[in-house]
Amino acid sequence: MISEEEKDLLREVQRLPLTKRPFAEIADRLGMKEEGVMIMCNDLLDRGVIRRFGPSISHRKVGFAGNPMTVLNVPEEELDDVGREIASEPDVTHCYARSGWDYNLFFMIHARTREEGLDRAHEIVSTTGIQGYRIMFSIKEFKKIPFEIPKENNIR
Amino acid sequence: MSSELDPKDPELLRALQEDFPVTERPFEEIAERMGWTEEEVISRIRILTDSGVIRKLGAVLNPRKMGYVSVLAALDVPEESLDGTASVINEYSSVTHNYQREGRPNLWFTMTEPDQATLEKHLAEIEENIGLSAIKMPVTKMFKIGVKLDI
Repeated sequence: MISEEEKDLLREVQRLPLTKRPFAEIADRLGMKEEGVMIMCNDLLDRGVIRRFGPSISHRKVGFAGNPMTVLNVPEEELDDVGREIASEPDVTHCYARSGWDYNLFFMIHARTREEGLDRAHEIVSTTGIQGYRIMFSIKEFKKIPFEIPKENNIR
Repeated sequence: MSSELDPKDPELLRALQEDFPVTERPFEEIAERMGWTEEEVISRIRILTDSGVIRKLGAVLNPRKMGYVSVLAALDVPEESLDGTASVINEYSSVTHNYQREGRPNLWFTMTEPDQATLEKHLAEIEENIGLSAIKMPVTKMFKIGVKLDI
């Protein structure tokens, strides 16, 4: 969990100002010292609240057009092994077990083209021996934004 | 490579993904690694942000570690009401992804809220508003998330 002070800091550092000393600018906004901001950031990194600092990149705009979601129906006792196996593939970007539907293991891959994405999805599934699966490409993107803490607390 | 990128951009995007330093002059450090100037790095990031290649640059947060809860939800929506339904869902700032996908169900979205009660309330509002019930698929185990793209 995080304190209110940390939440205020996260609201600022989730989108860094593009200036030479971004942490100094954030420190000014918060009435803190630059060093204090960096210490808090490192602590939040250590605790895993901040996964990393870096860019959120539009996959499509950098040439990844074949990004299917693949869903598998895995026997419960094999879920851990199959999940870890799929996660170890370098082009798999997300792999989760989920409850609530006919399929319980989900993974995403990022490929340059639809064909490449489809081939890789089939290939990755075939190494697991799982028979029940579906490969679902997106047809239309209605929204895709990085998770951010809202600027105000009164989100809708 | 996509036409939205300058020939030098992949190198910059790789460097930014690699290890963004928490230091007084992070862009200077990245510039040094690449043999660019600090000004070049900052101005190119600005251009890529304006064109939407970079959605944002900063701390990538783990909502769970802040006590937030999220769910993947899916709806089976008649083709002709897809756009309208998607707009209803998109009104919630807590919705981060919303896609039409092939097959059934056909509309998939993720919602991340500060607590379970708010999540359930907002999902119920959506269901009531559009008159359909959603399949809710919370994560039970995370094996991998959001690694670097091989740009």
